[in-house]
Amino acid sequence: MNIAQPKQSKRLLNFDLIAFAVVIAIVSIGLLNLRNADFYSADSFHERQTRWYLLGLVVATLVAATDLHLISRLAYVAYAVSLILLVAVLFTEPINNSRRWIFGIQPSEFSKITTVLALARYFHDKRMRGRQELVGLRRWLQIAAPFLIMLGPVLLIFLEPDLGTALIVVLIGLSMIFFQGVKIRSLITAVGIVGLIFPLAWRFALHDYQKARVLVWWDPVELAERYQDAKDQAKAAPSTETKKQVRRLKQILDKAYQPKQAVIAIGSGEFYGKGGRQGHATRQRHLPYLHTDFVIATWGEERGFIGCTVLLALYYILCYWALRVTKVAKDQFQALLAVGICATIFWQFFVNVGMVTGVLPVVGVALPLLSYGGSSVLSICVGLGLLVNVVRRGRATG
Amino acid sequence: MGRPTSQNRRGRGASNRNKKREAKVKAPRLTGVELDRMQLRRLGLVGGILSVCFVAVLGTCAYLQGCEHDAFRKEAEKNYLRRLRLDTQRGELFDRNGERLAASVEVPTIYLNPRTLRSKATDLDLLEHWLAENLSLDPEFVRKQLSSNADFRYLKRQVTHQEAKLVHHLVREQKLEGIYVTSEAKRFYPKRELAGQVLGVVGFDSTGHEGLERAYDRQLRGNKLTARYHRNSHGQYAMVEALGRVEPEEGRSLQLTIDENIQAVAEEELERTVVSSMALSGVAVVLDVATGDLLSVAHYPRFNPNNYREIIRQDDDQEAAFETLKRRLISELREAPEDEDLIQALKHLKPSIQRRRNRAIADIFEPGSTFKIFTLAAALEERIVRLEDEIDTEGGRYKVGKKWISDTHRSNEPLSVRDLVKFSSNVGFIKIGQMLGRDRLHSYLRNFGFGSPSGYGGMSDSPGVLRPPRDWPDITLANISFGQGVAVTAVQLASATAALGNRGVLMRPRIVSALMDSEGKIVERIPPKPIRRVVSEETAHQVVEALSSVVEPDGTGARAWMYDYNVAGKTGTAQKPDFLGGYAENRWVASFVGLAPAERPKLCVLVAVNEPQGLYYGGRVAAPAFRSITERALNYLDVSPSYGARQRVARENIVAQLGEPDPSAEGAYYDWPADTQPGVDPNRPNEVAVPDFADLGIRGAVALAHKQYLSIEVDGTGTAAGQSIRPGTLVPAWTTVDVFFRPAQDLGAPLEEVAP
Repeated sequence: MNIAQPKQSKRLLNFDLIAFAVVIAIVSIGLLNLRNADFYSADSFHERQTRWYLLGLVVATLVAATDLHLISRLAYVAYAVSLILLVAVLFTEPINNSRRWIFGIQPSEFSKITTVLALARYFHDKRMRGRQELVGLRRWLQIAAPFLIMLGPVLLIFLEPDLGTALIVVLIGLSMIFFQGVKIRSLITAVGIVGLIFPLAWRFALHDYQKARVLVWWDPVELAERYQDAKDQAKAAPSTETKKQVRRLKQILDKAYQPKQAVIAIGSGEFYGKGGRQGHATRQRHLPYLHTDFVIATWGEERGFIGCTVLLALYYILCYWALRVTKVAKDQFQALLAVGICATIFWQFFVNVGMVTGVLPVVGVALPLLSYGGSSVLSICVGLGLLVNVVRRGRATG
Repeated sequence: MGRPTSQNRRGRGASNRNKKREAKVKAPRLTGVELDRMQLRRLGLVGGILSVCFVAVLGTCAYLQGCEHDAFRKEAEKNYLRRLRLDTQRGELFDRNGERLAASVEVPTIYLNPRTLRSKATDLDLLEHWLAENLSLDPEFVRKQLSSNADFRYLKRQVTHQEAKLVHHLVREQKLEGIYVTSEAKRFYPKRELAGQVLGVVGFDSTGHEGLERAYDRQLRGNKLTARYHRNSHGQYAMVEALGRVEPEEGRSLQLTIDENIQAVAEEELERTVVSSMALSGVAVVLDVATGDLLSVAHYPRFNPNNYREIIRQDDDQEAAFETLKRRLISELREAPEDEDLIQALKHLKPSIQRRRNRAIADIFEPGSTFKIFTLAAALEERIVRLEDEIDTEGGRYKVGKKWISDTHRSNEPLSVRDLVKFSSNVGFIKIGQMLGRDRLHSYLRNFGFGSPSGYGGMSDSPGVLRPPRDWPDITLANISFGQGVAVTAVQLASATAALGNRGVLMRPRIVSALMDSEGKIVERIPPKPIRRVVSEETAHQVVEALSSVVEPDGTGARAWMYDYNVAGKTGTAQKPDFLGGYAENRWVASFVGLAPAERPKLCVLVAVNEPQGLYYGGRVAAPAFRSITERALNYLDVSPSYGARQRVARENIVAQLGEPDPSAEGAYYDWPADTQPGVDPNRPNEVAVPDFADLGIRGAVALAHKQYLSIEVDGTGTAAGQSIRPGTLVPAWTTVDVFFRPAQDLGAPLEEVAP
């Protein structure tokens, strides 16, 4: 990626406008798409989403206008508040077997931003302190600190449980750490540790449905065969054990339904798409969650490859702009902020699209700005406001 | 990681300016710290990874939407598209004149959502009781339906409007949910019993179960009305219009060849005959000779398809009871073969009748003497005999193998072939059959359509029984020659006879003449279809001539004699099998099949009466019914009366009494004397005076009555001897006067019972 040189800062202004237009375009697509999705399910999500967008605009403007120093100073406070909310949320009544909601918002969505803020602040402070030669426990603590900042919300979100958002926070954190210049060796070590944790998590922490999603994603054919075998076996020797096995595999296979329908919807859109409100696969509610996590399936089916390419390009421009903002950042805090927000948008986009197209297992991740959801939209708007703030400051100073 | 280095600063020209600005802005904690080299490198790397990821996503989309789209499209269609057959309005049935014989009407149906109902109803027991009481349902059944876990259950289908109203009220009063009234199509037969067996029945969901309703179910339902539907994941159907590929084809209506009036006449006359002869059942078929059109297929007992469920249940119960009794008697008889009571019981056991069956095509019977027609036709066509040839009937007893066969009409003199037919000589026909030989006889019978389905259509069209000739021992050949050892359906027999009336060409019996759309426009015609020429025109003519002698006063079919038309026909009296594998002594099928008018046949009429009691001869039981049906049908069809031999006899009789007719009289076959023509009272124009019919012949009486705007009911033969309304009485026009006739001296001896 060609990172702009300072002399081109004049052009940066234009690019900011382009980015603004891109956001407007994504929002417009989001509304249009939700409207059509509403048509299929006779809902009115697009109207509520419009309110969220307007509120998001206000929030983004406020955030953009706020003094960045103040934001920097409040970074840890925000982080702490989000941690408290994440703890509080664990004591609410579960909805769909998951505790995500408190005061009408999803703290996990905002914790992405607060984590970015906290990490940015931490790295900034560390850079300001300069290189310190620490030994022993303190050295290890220093290495581990960013990971710990990241893992706090991750663990709490994981307990909700919300595997998808936890994963996104991990990816955001790792991206920032990576950007900050962690040695590749350290990163490999970290990934190795995760690799060690994974079987443990698999054994103890993951829920059955989460495992099922992964299994289905990993090898659906093999699973179907196993299911068939188990069924034959249960027929040959009916016992509670064999029946349980059949039931278990059936449940796992059922998890394949949703991603399969999404892939069918997108695939059947072909090159030009079926046209507005002609998406029969999504229309007939063969596709669950078509307003939230799987909203892009509607788009893919209605607008085909052309539409997908346009949408991809829009997100690419948005991410590209976020990375360019990094370059005009006035200090480490702002730069890291930009990187973190870029990571937030990008990883959510990537995991969501991967999940809908069947490349990744199904973890509940919203598509930034496109999926219906107040918390999701607002948190992204806060992020975009911060980026504008950085640009504003950057421009004012340079 | 490291601190920001001088190299970095050097790399970025803006840093100096930044520094100056920061000095002015009071922001001590946020002193500019530039991106270091590693961060820049990482930034590039991040950008690269990002781009790669985007390309990967784009590639995935391209793969899904570009390469694999066909598979996905199919998969998607499998999910949401369903071929669904829509039952639109079922086609209707019309007779040949456009009279509606079967129509579909909307009637209420009550259904439940048991789960909703259970959650809303306060007192379920009371509700159950109420429903069972008011809808006359089995309480157990109601309980079962109400406790079902399904979302949909019929409670009672096709209810009366009264019942629907009751339920409606209940729902409103009690504010119930989960019990609903909808409407569905029900078949309605406005003519009730008329041709009930032919039309058949329609069950729930518009499915034809019997008769033409079943045979033409596909067309009536509109087979091609399969629509491509969207189905959502709840299994609901929706969104037809969006596809725009639905090509509904409505159900076709059928135009039948049945004539409502002839059918009614045939049913009426058949009923009279069956009831008066105390028979089990009867069938009458009226065929248009030239086209093979079935103008009437009459059955007795009648069957009203409007309440078929009840009738079928009764019949099935009866059938089961009969079968049980029969089996018990047979098994008991096996243990005590000499028990006279058992033998008598079996002998008089009354078989059950399935009223819904279209017995004219589905039931087979031994034709008996009527079958001689075809033996004769074969022999004449093969020029083995001529009508004038004389054949020795051996005094009416003849031995074939070890078995003696006898005639009812015994003659020691040799009889002409014509007389063999007239007196229905079994011996004579055995001899003709022997002259023909098995193969030739068999091939002619096949050609006449025996042993294969008549072509009427539908699944119940029975082929009858005609064994291949290599299985015929001598006795079988002999039997078949006069109509034993074969079995035919009524329609087969009628259409084979009609072939002779149609100059030797066998027509396929036709019941449906056209398929129409809902507006009555003909979509598809089913034209009359000649199957084959069976015999030459000459032979056919000769056979009809020979059959004409049957109805002569001394022939077996004298009671089929008609005043207006020459008739050619043949009686048949066949023994039925008993329940033990032999022939029963007291079970007969009396039949008469004939053509009229004989000189140019228009109709072929068959009457077959099953198990008449008392006098069981075809000539006695079936011939009068044949006469009434044929006469009335020919009159109705406006067929010109014949100028045949018997009409001459009647005419001579009339002339003897009334003098020579005036040939100039318009439209009249003869004229009547002016003084016997009473005028119409000018003061009471709508009333007419009844004339005196005394000593008039039948034709004269009929003509006089019609001239006087009166209907006449003829009773007896000969000259008028009395009338039901005194002469001179003023009565409304077209009042029916019964006129009684006594045989005139010169018409010959009164008819004697003649054996078949």
